Amino acid sequence: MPKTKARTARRSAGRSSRPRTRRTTLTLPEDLLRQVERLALQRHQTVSAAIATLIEAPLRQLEARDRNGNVWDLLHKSIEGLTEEEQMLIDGIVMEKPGTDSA
Amino acid sequence: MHATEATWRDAYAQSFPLCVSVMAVLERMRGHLLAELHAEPSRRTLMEQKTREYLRSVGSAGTNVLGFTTRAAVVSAQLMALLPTAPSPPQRSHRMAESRQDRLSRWRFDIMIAATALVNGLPLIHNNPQDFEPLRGLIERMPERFPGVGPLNLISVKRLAA
Repeated sequence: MPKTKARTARRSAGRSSRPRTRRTTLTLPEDLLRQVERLALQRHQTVSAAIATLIEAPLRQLEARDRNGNVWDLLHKSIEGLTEEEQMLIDGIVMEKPGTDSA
Repeated sequence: MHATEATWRDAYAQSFPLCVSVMAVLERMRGHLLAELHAEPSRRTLMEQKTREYLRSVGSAGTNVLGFTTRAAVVSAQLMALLPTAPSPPQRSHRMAESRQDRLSRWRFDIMIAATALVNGLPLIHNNPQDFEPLRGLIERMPERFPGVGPLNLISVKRLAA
């Protein structure tokens, strides 16, 4: 294995419990940034860690909402425009003419 | 779909994950395939499209399909033994009726769906209070028969839409 790759592998193995991070530049409204800095100070965190904590939960919720909403819509689409009898059949209610009951 | 139901549905989906019992998938797929078989020739293409749409919803990334486990089977067996017949009669219209055999099969599917919710500790969203309420009542009356599971929490879509 080439030297550089081995070093990368060792480094990532040692930090396996920590999520990978990436540097970026954000432009935030000044007052918002001040609030985040205050919060980070109170929590003994870096500003990056404070921002990550703040956005993680809402992002997860947003993802769940998109996924769930899609499932409801697809489910609704699968019975939309059907007659009452057809919908009953799809719900598992099989109607027959009386006298054909075999039980 | 009723507007109240749709509003509630969207609010619920924003806050909680949604799961589907594999038994509900079985029952619904059986229904879709029967609907295809019974369809008038002019409706057959539409019914096939509806089956595909249902399969897409089940296969989509957001659908968490819960399997039927040994624990769910044991709880189902207990419920089937204690409530062997469906609480509500077979469906009937002026010229058609559901057979006793089909009614029993539908009742057993409902029991297996309720058992899946119970063993996973999840509330059950349904539109069939006539059948699910007796199950909830039974578990409340005889908790010793259902160790480690229950109570059965029910969310009736019918009540929300009322």
